[in-house]
Amino acid sequence: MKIVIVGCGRTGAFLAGILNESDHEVTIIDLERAAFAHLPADFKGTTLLGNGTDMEILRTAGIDKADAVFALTQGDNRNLMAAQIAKQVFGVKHVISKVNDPIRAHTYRQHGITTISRTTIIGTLLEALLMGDPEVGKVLLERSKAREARMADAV
Amino acid sequence: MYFVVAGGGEVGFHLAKALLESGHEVMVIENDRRRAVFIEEQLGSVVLNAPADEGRFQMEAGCQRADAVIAVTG
Repeated sequence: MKIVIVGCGRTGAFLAGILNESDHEVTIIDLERAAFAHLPADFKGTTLLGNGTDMEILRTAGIDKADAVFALTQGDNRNLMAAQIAKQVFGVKHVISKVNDPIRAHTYRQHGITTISRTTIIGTLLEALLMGDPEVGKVLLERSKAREARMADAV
Repeated sequence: MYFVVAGGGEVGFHLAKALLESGHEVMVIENDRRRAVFIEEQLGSVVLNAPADEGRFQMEAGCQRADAVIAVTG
């Protein structure tokens, strides 16, 4: 699949790394050149310096042919803007936006943008761990821990 | 009608003023405390001193029942 990621912080770079492993065609955009240092050394995708809410930059990234777009910068507003452009202007099939504000995550989800809020996900997970309800995050935690171990080994 | 104006800068302030003068109900969301105080002095209790890009405050300002939400932050 062709995948465009907006934002090369920890989350964007991590996702780019694991998609890269499964041979997807990944293009990752960030405003700061230094952000690309988050990518793993064996990243084979394309890095693009620019603003991920700029239509020309998104076109350069090949958004019109993208199967999926992930908006993963540190700002909810930027993520939602990039996601709306991807979905409404370019008609990208899979659009997922990171939205830390839980209420706006809910609001935009009702308007057809898939949103993921780390606030509620981590909070829900932490409460489940405290309450001894391991089923809540079992698969997610196992997979995450395995990836963390592989990343640590690769350093 | 009920309008929520996100941002009480020059545009937001004068827009809110004009809407109030036309008899509409208005709530301005302004993050800067001093600016919010100024608007309140000029226009009355029509200001919510909060960031306009937080869902919680958008709801507190009554975005759900607003006829229009006008985003005019800097």
